[in-house]
Amino acid sequence: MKSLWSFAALAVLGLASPTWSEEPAKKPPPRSFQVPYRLTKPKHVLVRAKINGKGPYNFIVDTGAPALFVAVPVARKLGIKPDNKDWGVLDRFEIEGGVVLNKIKGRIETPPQIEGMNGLGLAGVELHGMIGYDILARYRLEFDFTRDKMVWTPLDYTPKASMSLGGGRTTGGLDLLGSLMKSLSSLLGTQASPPVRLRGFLGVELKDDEDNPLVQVVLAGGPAGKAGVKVGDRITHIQGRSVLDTDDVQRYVSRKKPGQEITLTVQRGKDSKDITVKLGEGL
Amino acid sequence: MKIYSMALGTIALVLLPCLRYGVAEQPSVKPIEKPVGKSLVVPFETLKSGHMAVKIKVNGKGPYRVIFDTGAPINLLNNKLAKEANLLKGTPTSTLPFMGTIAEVKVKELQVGSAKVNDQQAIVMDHPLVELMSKKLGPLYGIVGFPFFARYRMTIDYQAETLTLVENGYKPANVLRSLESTLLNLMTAGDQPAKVLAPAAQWGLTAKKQADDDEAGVDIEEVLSGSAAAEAGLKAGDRLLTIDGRWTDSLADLYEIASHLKPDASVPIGIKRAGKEMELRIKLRAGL
Repeated sequence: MKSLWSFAALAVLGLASPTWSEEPAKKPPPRSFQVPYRLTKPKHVLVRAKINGKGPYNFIVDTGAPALFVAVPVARKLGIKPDNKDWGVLDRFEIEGGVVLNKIKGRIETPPQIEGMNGLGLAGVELHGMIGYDILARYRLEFDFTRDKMVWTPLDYTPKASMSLGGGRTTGGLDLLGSLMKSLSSLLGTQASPPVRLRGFLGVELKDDEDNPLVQVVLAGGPAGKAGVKVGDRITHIQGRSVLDTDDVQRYVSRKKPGQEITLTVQRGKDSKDITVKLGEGL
Repeated sequence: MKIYSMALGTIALVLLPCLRYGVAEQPSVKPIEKPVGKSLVVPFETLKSGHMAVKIKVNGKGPYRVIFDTGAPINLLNNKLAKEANLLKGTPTSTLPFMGTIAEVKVKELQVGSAKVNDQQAIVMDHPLVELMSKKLGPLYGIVGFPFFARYRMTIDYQAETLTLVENGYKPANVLRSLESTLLNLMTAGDQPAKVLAPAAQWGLTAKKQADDDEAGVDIEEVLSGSAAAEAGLKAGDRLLTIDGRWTDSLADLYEIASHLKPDASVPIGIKRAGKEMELRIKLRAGL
């Protein structure tokens, strides 16, 4: 039943202790921004932002947060010095899609929920903070999970400063939860962002029809071309496994890294031919 | 302190297999009955703390004032509300100090302003932070989040203090179940396998980024002749900055973005050539 507790804690991610802000909004130009976002596994809306030109960093769009929160290690790395109340000034905060804010204040603080989620790698990417009321209130915000971008339209509006409710960092046991999740991560060896690798490159354009995938174009100088793949070849097998369409080719090639070899069996006229291609880098 | 948290962690480890606490798998999100496209305007209150509060009804009971939180993956309702709306009947519960009864429930009808949705997942508990805010800002009975607003194209306007909701047909997945499986995977899997970033279409280029290069974008190393990239006018030496408005600051970014773009997609690409920023358009092809 402890698990319910942790889920509940996730629910209030960003319901961080209320704080106050004194920074008035600066009027951005009146147009709409298409802001790319990603929905994490725990269903947080994640946008990327650069701070003082560095990054990008991952932020959760969170009306449950009263301000912009920047994780302490990020601020430290960028040399942003918090004042004695843990506020820091960001010279430039640019959200992917073109939203730019200059000289804004942010909380230099790592909320325990962020620490916990990073510890367990729950979000699938490392989280660096939350964008809350102070910033969100300056925009009309459109969320639509059937589209791949949010729409942020600047409002001619200066949000009222949010009030501190006292109690400082009273987080209702979330501090404990954060460190608990973090210590779990050291036991499990989890990482905030899983490692990624790039798939190898063939350099062919393919066409699907009722038959095996047809090589329509062989890019000159590409790995398949160098290995002798020709226009008109039909790829019947990869590594001895039959392929029916381009998706199959994608799947088998994705298992190999650039520099590794892969054997294609192609139908050329009446002949069947094995061709070993050294996968390249590229897309 | 460290030993203490480690011990707690170990306990949690042992407890994790108990995650399936009696609620059957239920990925069903019922199709929406109302026609898509009707626009509903729900007023909200901006609390002095900067949070949003809305009025909800739960199975016809209410109204209750709750926090509206885009950062909340689940809805959360307090014990008082749960009791009044009779949510705990026939549901396994447990109790934790300071948090009252804790249970996972399904709310038959959740109404937020004039917007009604059925079969909403929620957790019942008294969250200390919500209780604290309640004391300072007037009664708050919980939090409404993702399972509700994901069903809509939602526009938040803090100036007008309104949520504008239009059903969009999106069917949110069951967050608790997917988190459970994530956690269970963590328990059982060893090292996390590398995620393969596989472009879904043929671009016809190679790119590079030096380890000590922390400027925006990646370098286009080679544009294969006759390819989609060549047709778009890309040239070796261009600095690729964005694809469809998304930053390409690393090869991982580039491949990740490309993994979502299918053959025949036509997207704008932002580049820098000889110090000048410009936009091209590329039409992707089938291949790899």
